[in-house]
Amino acid sequence: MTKPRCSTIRRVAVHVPADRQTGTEIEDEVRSRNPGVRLMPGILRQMYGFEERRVAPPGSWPSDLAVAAGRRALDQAGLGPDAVDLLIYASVSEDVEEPATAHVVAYKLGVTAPVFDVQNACNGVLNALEIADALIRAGRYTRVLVTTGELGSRLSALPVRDRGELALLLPALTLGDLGAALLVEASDRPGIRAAVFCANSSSWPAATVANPYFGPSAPAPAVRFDSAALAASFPGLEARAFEALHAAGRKPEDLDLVCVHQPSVAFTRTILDSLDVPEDKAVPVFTAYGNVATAGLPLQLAQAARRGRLRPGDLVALFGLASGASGGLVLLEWSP
Amino acid sequence: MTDTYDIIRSVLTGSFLVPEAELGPEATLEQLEPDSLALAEFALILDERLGVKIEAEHATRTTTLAEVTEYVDTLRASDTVTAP
Repeated sequence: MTKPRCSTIRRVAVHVPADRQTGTEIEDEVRSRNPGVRLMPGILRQMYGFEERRVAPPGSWPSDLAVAAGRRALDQAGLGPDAVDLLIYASVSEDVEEPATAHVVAYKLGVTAPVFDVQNACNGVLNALEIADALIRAGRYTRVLVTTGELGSRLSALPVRDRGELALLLPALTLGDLGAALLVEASDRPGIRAAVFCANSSSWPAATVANPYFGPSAPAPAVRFDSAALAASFPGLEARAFEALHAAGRKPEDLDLVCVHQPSVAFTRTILDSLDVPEDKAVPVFTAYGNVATAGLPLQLAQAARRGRLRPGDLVALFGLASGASGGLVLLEWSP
Repeated sequence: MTDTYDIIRSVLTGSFLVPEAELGPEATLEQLEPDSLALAEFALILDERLGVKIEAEHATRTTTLAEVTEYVDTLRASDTVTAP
């Protein structure tokens, strides 16, 4: 098959670290690290609906989480590392600034194929699927392994000097650790049907994680999540992304499963409402895993598959929203 | 007539140090402090005092004390009805 017509997600796998940390434990830790800053118990549940997250063992790197998930995906498919044509790493968390973390993942996995990183905040994996699909359709590759390793729990250790800085770090306290991998392959049957993205780049300052090598010399919070500005940067993106659904001649009620980016319980509900999708078509993960950034969509897909909620031929929407801001929709037929 | 309004006033003056003179039925929660943290803390304290779960959209910066009082009264009344 030199020029396949379609690509499909053949396997999705996640690596879930065993250790759990509750909201109360996170709040206690932040309080003990920053004794001068008041943090009311229960605030993470009140504001985000957060209960607990998974935390990778000390000494773990983002690549370790991606490797564990990548190996699982290959094992499930009965494939070795030499079967991979292209490896993409698409996480918010990176081992190093240079080289691409994809090299670290490939080396640990034993993959010798070309690699590169894709980064677009929480939409990295969704963009990687768009790229994998396009490259496979173009006949450039037959089998692409998309990987991610989110290690967001580490950000909770950042110091906060006052209440203002605490408010800017607060959403990051719900970030959870998780590895995920998607094996995308050439197929004669349609899998990925459409991929559409849009951006509202004037809102980029709403949520930033500073690069330690550049920027002002004056001390500033390394992580700034302005929740109100971030929320204001999203409206309209979901409607534009969902135009892909209508362009494909489909309606929200045609969807069997909808995976959405989940940065909080309330936000997830708002997004589903605005997409006109009933909650029973979604897979809620935020309460038990926190915000796992790029790993969230594969996590929902993997959970749906494990619970028997994904049947061949099902129409699935993966909908992402990310700081920047960007919105994206990948529409696929489940055809493993 | 319930004691809700007085409890809300006492939370604002006691926990958030809002001057008593600034509080009236038409005052908004903006006076708490202009950050989202304070609004969540306000909801948490009312939960502790009155056992009511306040949804974020019913306690925004533009919500007046009269509106919060009415909403909390509704929650307290429904709790009474459903209590065993």
